[in-house]
Formats: sequence, C-alpha cells, structure tokens
Amino acid sequence: MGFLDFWGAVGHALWGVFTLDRSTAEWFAAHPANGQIALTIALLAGISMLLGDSAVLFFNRVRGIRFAVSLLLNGLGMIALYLVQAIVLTVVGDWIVGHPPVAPFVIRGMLLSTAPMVFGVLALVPYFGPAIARFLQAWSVVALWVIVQVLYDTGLWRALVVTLLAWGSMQLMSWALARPVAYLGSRIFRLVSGHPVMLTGRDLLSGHPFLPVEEHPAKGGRG
Amino acid sequence: MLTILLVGLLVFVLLALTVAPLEALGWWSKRGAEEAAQTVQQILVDDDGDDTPEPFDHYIVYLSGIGAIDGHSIPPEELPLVEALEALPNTAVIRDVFPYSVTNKGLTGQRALSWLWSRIEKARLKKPEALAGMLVNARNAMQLFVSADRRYGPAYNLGTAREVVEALRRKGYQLDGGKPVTLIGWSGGAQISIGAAWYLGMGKIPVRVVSIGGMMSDDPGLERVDHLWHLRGTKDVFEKLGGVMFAGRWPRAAFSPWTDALKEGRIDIIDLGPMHHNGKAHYYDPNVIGPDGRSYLQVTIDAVVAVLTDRPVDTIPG
Repeated sequence: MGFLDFWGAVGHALWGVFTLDRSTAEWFAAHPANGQIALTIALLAGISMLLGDSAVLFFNRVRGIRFAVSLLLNGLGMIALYLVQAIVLTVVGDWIVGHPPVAPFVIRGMLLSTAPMVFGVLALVPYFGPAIARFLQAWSVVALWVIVQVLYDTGLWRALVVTLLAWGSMQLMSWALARPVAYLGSRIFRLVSGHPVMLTGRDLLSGHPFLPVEEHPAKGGRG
Repeated sequence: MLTILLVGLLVFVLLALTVAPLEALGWWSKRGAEEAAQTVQQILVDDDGDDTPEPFDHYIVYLSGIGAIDGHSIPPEELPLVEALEALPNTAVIRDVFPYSVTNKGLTGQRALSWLWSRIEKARLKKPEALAGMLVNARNAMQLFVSADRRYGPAYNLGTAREVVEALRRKGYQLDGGKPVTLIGWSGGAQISIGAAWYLGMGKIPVRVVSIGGMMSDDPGLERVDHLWHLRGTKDVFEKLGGVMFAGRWPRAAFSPWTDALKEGRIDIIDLGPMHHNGKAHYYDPNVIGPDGRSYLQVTIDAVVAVLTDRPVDTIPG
C-alpha cells in the first residue's frame, strides 16, 4: 500500500466517522490496514487535543524539551483513559447485548471514535475554544454510539446504554484521578524546574480571573 | 467552486483564530511574568515616596478601534475626537498605546509579517475601503477575543495594563496619587479597556471607561471600573453582536460582572443616534448631518466630552 493510498484511506475513514456513515464500517472492516488507519487517526486526534490544551504549559512557562515531554505525558494519560473505556465497553457490551465482540475490533472502534478530536487544536481559539472542545467531545461520543451499533450489531438504544456506560466510566476515572495526577505532576514539575506550578488546567478552565504573578501570592490570587 | 472558496475561507479563519493567542502566550512564557510582577508591584504601591506634583488633574488613555495598525498612527477619522480631548483643561491625553498587542508593538514593527502589514497599510492609505485593509480589522478583532477569553485574558490584559501604566508614568502620573484615569475605547478598544481595568483598578487608580460602539464581554475587569459609559448607535450591528455573542451580557445573566455593574448603577448605556459601526454614517462620519445640524462626528465628540465633564449628553432623537 503506497503512502498516498494510506493517507487517502485515513481521509476516507475520517470522513466516514465525521458524517456518522455506517456504510464506512464495512469498508473499514475489510481494509487490510484498518489497524494502522485507526491508530493514525487516534494519534492525530491525540496530538491535536494536546496542542489545544497547551495554553496551560505556556502559562507555566514550560518550553523546549519540557514542553514536548509534558505533551507526551499527557498523551500517555489520555491513552490510559481510552484503554479503560475500551475495557468497559467490552465488559458492559457483552453483559447488555449478550455476545462479546472481537477484542481488536473494540480497540479499533474506540480509536476511530476519536476522529472528531483531530480538530482538538481548535480549543486554542480565543473565547469560543472551550465550547468547541465540548462540541467535539459530544461529537466523539455520538461517533462511538454509531460504532458500538456496528460492533455489536445491535439497536440504537442498547448501543446508547453501552456507550454511555463506557464513556461515563472514562469521565469518572478522569475526575477521580484529576487531583492525584495534578499533585504528582506538580511534584515532578517542582523537582524538574525548581519552582511550583503557578497555574493548573483546572485553574485555567475555572473561569475565574487569576493574577499569574509569583511574587505576590498573598495580595493577588484569585478574584 | 464557491463551496471550495468558502471552506478555504473557514479553514483560514479557524487557523488564524487558533494562532491568535500565541503572541500573548509567547510573551508571557518568555518575559511576561517578570514584567507583570514589576507592573503589579508598581500598581499596588501605597506610597512610592515621590511627592512630585502631577502636571494634570485627569488622565485619558485613548484606545483606538480594530482598524489601528500601531500606537502612533490613529486613523485620521478619529483625530478630531482626540484633538477635542486634548483641548480639555488640565487633562493629559495618551494616544500611543496600541491595544492589540501585549508588547505595544505595532503591526508594522519588528514582526515576521511586518512586510505584509506595511503593504496593507500603504494600500489602505491609497484606498481606505480596500478589502486588504479588512485583514487589519480581522487580526485585531481576534485579539479582542483573546482579551475576553477567561484563559488568555488575564495575561493579555496584564500586558496592556502594563503598557497603560508605562504611558501614564511618561506623562507624570503618580500611581499612588489617586488622580482619575479614563480609558476611552472605540470598538474593540472598549474590551481592551475593561480588561486592563482589572489590573489598573487593583491599587489606588480610580478607573473610568468610555466605550464608543464597544464590542465588550462581561469581563471581570468591570468589577474594578468606577463607571462605564457605553455610547452606542442604534444601527450599530457590531455593538449589538457583542451583546449577543458574550453570554454574560445577556439580560439578567447570572454570575456576570456586567449584570452586577448594571445593578450597582455603574454602567450608563446611551443611545447616541442612528449610527452604524463602520461604512457610512458611523460614529466618526463628518459628512452625515443629524436633524439638529451636527455631524455624527460632532455628536460623538460632544457626547464623550459631556460624560467627561459631567454634563448631560445631547443625542440625536429617534
């Protein structure tokens, strides 16, 4: 398979997920490089999402190699969350639908569902970025819903329950781990850089104005 | 063909919007935090020990609209207003702050695309309605959204507040003296004004804002504005768009500094008359004459001077 053919296939798969086209599933299942296609899409989505969230790194004055390492660590965290979602999808799907799907297809389907997140970098767009990010997440969940229907060959509502349980688990895990991960990240940041994290992603998304100045923590702080 | 053009335009706009915050983020990352710390120290000072009397009783900072290309070249149509402000007694007018850059660097300054902006500026001087000139407006409008963004705004607005403080000090302003400072923002300059007010107002500077057709959000900076006069034209689509696009300005929006300031009587909204935002019959149009014999430009000048001198504003009826 040539380079251009491969990227043409990636584009075709992306378009199929964007448009929630179920007929793309047959083409995808029969494609000899479907694993690589799914992985490429997830990789593009991951890089884009991480760049979209990179404002927090700028505010913490993370540059150069540390910027790249931070993006990589965040990427690994994201992969872990999607892995949990894939496991829950397999277990819950089997329980609700009554038959297990083929494991590699679950993982590929999960990776495919990240397709809308290739626009994740648009989270950087001033003022509208957070709304765009939420829209993309919702789009991704709807894409997963369609993929679950195909994977389990089941109806709309059963697929919805499976999807929501899998997605909900990922959200729950993300919420539960946010504080410990932030604490750990902060410790590592202090060890590497010698000064504390001034601003976290939570701060950035809280919507409160902050005074990002190290010298006056008592006078400044939050509004 | 049209579809391809439209998709291309959309992609271009999205890309431009995506990179819009990078100037502010880059500044913050490289040297903004240190510069900001100095600025905050200056603003918060109780007594700097310098009792040199200030040469003026009132300081005005004029922040131009999104058509501005740098801090030193105010568009010619806006000059009569600036000159009227300069004629006010005991008043210093600062007009060299470029509100669409955290470092006060004009578009034709030392930038990667300065050659492009220089060419656009030349084209605009030859033909003011040139389409290329709209690129300047678009670029600066994106900075307006950076200022309004709850993520980037704090850094961006600290950068512009720093430029305002520097400009005030060049005019002999004492940061611990309590003399009033009025930020006059035209169009996007109004958002930049209320954004910078969050920092300017944290010390002893009494901050007032006059918005001329301002496209503003419910910026937290409103909490530190003593008073905001929002002068608007009844046919100004962009001003109206600001009230729709920024959810915190919707009627009775909860947890909104705009709503709070309205409730506390710190915002006066004044309809000047049937002015448009740009094109013909806009706020600075000297050729369109109202029923009372004054040009739209004169109506705007009179209104700004009236609010600054605590007199009733004479608007165009209907």
